[in-house]
Amino acid sequence: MSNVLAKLVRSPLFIAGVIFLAPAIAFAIGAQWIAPHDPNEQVLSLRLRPPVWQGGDAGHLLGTDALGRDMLSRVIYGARVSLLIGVAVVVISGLLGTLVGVLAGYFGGWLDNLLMRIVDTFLAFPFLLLALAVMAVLKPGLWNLIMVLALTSWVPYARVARVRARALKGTEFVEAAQALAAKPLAIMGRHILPNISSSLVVIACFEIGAAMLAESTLSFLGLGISPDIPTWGMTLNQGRSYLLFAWWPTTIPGIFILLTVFGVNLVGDGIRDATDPRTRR
Amino acid sequence: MRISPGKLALSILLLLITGLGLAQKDIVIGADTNGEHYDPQRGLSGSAHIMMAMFDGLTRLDPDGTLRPSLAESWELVNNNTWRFTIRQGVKFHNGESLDANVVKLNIDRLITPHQTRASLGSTVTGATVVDDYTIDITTVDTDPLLPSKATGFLIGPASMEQDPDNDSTEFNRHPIGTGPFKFVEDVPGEYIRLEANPDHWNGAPEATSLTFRIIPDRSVQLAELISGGVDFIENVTPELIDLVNRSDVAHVVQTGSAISHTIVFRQDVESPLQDKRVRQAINYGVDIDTIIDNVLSGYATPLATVVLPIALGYNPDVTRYPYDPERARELLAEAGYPDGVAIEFDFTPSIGELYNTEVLQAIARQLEGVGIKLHLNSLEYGIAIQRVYGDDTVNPAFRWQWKTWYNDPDSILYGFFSTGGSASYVSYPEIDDMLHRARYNLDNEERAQIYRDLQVIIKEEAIHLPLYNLQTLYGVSDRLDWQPRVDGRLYFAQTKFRD
Repeated sequence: MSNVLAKLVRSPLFIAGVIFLAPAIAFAIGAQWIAPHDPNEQVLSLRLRPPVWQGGDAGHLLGTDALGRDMLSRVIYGARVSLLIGVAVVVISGLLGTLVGVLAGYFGGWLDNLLMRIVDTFLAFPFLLLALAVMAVLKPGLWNLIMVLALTSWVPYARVARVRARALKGTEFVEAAQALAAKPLAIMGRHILPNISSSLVVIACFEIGAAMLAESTLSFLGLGISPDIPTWGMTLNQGRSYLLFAWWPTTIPGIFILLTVFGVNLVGDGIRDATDPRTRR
Repeated sequence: MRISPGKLALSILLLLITGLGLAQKDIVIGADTNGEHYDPQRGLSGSAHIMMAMFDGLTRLDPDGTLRPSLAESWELVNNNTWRFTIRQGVKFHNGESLDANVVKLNIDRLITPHQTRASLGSTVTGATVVDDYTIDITTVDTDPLLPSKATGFLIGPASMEQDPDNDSTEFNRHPIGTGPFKFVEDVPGEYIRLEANPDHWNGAPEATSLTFRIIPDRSVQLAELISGGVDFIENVTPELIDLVNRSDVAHVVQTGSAISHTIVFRQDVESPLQDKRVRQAINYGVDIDTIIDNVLSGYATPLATVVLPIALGYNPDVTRYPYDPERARELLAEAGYPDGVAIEFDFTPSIGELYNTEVLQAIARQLEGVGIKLHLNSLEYGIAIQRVYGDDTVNPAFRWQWKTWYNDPDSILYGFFSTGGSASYVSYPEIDDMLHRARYNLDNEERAQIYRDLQVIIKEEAIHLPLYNLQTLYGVSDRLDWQPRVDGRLYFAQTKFRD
């Protein structure tokens, strides 16, 4: 483990990723101390003020949105919910998908058939249709939104985990473990998972960004969370109507989503390089 | 002089393009979506503009709202509950079928079939009887003074639409046939719908040779297309961009009041603080709609005192909004037994595309928070909202809604919002029910107007709603078109002229 940490610290990719992620994490943890304003405080007379370098007020460094709310404070508070959604969705869907995929790939046979038909069923539904159906039953809310996004994004993990687990099942070291009478769970946990984790980490990194954007889509359709809770996706989406004459309400949260997703991907690359047994020297 | 083949080809191409441009009088309209249905008894508001071009009603309205003959040449009340319509002779459908009283009867029978999509339009109609080939009697529950106005919406399709297998209009939607000024050519879902002029239209051929509804879901893209000349007409220009359009030398903005009332409905049929009139009045005192209109909507809306529009029959100018008075709002709340404030669950639909809908509600919620009323904003997907409001009545105690006033008459909006059992009504006042009934079945317009004026006093005093405003519609119109808006907000292009 210390070996992995040492590799990470020496990995330029990982360090760069952490630097990109640092503002988002700092915002998420310390929003109430960092933010200059209440993110929901409206000053209607100060609506759509440009950022300070374009002639805006010094009190609103990144300008204000259509209700005169401070963009900087909304971005800072938005980091909290956006990161929570991104991470929670990836953790839940990653665990579910990996479990299904490894079981199906390792045991094969009827279990494989059953689980993969379930996967096919999920693939057959367009994301929005499934989300609509689930949200029509549940009440809109943060945790229900996370569950919906997790329920619609676990399939890629399952498919990748299954294929890799099947391939690994035939390798000598797994056969050796079987010959030594290791229990299936132990083989899956000790021999298969570490060898497929790098692929899953890569998927997870992409999915974090996708989840942040999917949240904004669902919130726009009225299936997400209340507009009183600022998130990057929602702020970006609400600013869309002003794009032709006020670029900042969309562009600023967009830049933060971009930096964060980029950072997560670099960190993911770093972790893959440090943990993948195939890249061990 | 030698001309290179490249230059020659280019000049020929340019000639062709300009030549075609002169000959082609195609009007391209930027539309949000394809219509969902083109069946005259089933199409809903999303398809309305397209259907208006392909079909004619029994009657029609002028741009200023005057009732005119259309497929019916004349009409008269023959007894208390029978209107007799004389059908225009010699009218042909686009496929050559002829129009007569039997075809009209078939359309009326279809309209009043239970559960038909547009059945509410014919809610007072009990049946139709053919008198002779070009005369038809339409009977109503009681005397319905509005029937000829409602008949503007009685669009007429050919007898052959009944031959559709399964009678679900799938085949008919693929190739709709009407008598209207434009004929259907093709519908490419998500791309465009194309119609061409009907040279044999009874009212003369339109000047435009074709209409193309291009599907552009994003409003900013619609606007960009307008000022680059890609489309000739769009429906919703953002107030902040009026100057941009007017300065473009390609298009201009035409502004007109819409016929839609925006309002916040309070349910009185479920347990909530809103059952107390004082709480409803406190909410009315606690919202400063003028500030919201001036800032969020850049002034492009008119505040409403009740849902009744100034253009409607019986509008009462003496009924005014509750003034903005946060102090009075707090007092009323305390009197009602909520000195520490109340929390109210509130539903709205962010995706309906009305100008700054979400922003307005957030501003209202903020103002109400200041007087101790906390609105929890719950966003609903449009389909779910329709289901909860019109279907199973599971919508939250307060919700935002809107209603269009047809043919300048308040009958339908008042029935919809305030009658016992009205489709968007969650109240029951026997007195209002009685007044609405008396106004609906009354031929004397002055008596009707008086009843409606009295009704607005009661609606305001009871603070049944928190009325909001009606928006100004900002149309973006190409400079090559001479286009005038209509008071009813419908889009017709049959009379549109081209500027030379």
